[in-house]
Amino acid sequence: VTKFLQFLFTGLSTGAIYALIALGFVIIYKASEVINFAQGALLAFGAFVVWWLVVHTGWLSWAGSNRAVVFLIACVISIIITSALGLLVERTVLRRMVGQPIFAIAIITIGLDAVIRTVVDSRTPIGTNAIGSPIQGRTVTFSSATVSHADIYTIIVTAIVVVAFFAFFKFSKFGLAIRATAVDQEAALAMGISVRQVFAITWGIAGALAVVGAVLQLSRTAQGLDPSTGFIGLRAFPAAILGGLDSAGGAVIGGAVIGLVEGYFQFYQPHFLGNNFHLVAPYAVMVLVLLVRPYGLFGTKTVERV
Amino acid sequence: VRAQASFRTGYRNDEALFPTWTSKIAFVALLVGLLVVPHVLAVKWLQGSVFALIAIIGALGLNLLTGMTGQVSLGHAFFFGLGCFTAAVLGGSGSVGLSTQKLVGYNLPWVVWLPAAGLVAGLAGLLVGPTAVRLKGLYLGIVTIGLVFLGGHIFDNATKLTGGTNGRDIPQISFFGHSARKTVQFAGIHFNKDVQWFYFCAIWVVLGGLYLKNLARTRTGRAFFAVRDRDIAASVMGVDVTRYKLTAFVISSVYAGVAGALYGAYIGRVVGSETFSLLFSIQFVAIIIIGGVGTVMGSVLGAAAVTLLPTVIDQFKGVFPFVSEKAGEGLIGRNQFTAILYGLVLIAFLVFEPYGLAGLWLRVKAYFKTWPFKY
Repeated sequence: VTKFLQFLFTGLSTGAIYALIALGFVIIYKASEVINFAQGALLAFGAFVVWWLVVHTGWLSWAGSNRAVVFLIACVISIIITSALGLLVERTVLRRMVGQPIFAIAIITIGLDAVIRTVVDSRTPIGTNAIGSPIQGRTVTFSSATVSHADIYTIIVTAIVVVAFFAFFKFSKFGLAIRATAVDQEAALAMGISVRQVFAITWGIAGALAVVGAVLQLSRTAQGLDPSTGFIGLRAFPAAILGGLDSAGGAVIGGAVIGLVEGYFQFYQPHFLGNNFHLVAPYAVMVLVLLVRPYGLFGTKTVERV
Repeated sequence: VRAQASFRTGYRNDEALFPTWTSKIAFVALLVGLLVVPHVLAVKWLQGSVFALIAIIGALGLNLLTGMTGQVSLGHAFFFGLGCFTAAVLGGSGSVGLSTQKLVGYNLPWVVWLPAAGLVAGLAGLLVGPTAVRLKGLYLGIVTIGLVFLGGHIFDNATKLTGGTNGRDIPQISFFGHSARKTVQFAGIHFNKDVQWFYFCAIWVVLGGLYLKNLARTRTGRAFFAVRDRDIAASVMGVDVTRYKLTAFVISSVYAGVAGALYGAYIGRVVGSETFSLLFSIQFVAIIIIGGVGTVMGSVLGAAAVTLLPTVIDQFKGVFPFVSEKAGEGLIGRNQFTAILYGLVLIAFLVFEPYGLAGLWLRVKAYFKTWPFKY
């Protein structure tokens, strides 16, 4: 039972990361029906900025006891820069593609992913580049169940971000504009909503979510920044798809489910269907769910007119 | 007067594979060109061309599925891998791999394993198909990403068949009892390994291209186009959408399987999950987009452009002084430079020339045909 609880925790925190990234997919998809394959690249970029500020420029060395503060400042700067990158990408490339087939736009984001990620990789030294997170590597024990600080922080931060996200969506003017645009772009335009601004905001938010996800993920593992950092973007796809691409709540639940599936497969069935099956189990779950519900668990079934 | 040769005087003529004299002549010229070219090219370019030819076969398959039928697939690498390892299992010697584990191998000739590679991949397409036809648009794209990862997992763990993460050797091809590794002399001309491979792949490219061109003008081909343009409208018109989507999936997988077998056999040794990764699939999507979606010509041009890009960069490396041989040196490594270039070219084509190189070619042709008039 102890192990069960422990893996519940690890699974949930993995799931929380997936949920954050999946929210990034969902918000862009909702507003502009673009699947953003470059989310992983934004994530890698955000992690790179944090690493560059904290470790490379040596902030940490003269930070002394204020490590956490310095780290948080670096995170905030990274969020700003990465959001700006999201805005830039939207403004320079995707704005031109409005009205083009969604397939073409999706492939463009694949191209963007390749470019951004390669640029980041080429500036990253080979080897383990810990981002200097203050919460990394520490654990706490609750009656024989060992839980890492990072996992706790991940779950808490994600909960806060998700609540803030939904509040923003539900109560703010921009949130309303995004929801209106999601329902009907032309009607939203006619009501005086700046659809351009909505697209821009969603990309900015996606960038911010990516940074939060990246920092938490790199705090959880000893792996640090390396060329595989961005791949977690791809691993979060099952979460977004499972919940339904246009459902923010679905993304959160999908993330939790996928995270738990991954965690428990890793623990209980390490050799079932070959080694490391937990790494691909999310995809298997995704395919199975889509067989039954082609639009995901909470996705809207589109009604098409001819 | 200039345009006289391209008058089309009836539906039969309009539907013909080679509607005009010029197109017939162009085809013959292409065949002759394919015969001559390998003897002219430098080794580096010749090897690049063989890869380009193999890529064309794969690209034809993906273009059938994505370009003609409109089904976005990022799972092409999986079918490539299946073809490759089918070839390895049927044609391989069952030798001891790096892991000192005995691998399964039947030592059969390529006449058996090449068609079998297509067949196995096609069957897999048939198995995956029913899931795929239920999904629309990008949901399908993402599920096929899942296919690549699940496939990579299988390639890693089916150790007896694929050699797992150590990879395994893929059998060499031999023609009329001569191994394709050895140079053959015939009528005073040397045919070394690469030349033989060039001819061998060229044959499959020509056959595959003609089949696809022919398919496009049949009832099936028109059904594909109808499904792509508006599947609901197509089904209202009496097109069995599910059946044709499945057909497209299977044919496309067969192309991928054959191309995968050739690819593996030409390289000689393959590690499944490394080679047939998502990147591999994306490269094929890049090929059909850069080349031109939905046309045979596009597959050919795109595959040539994308596959030969590294060779071109290598040839003109003096022009890019900031590019270094290895990653981590200079401003940027060569492979990284190539990757960035792929991405930028992909974006540029989608933004500025959605019909790809084939579209550019049509424009150039139209310009000369109507010269000196604008259109």
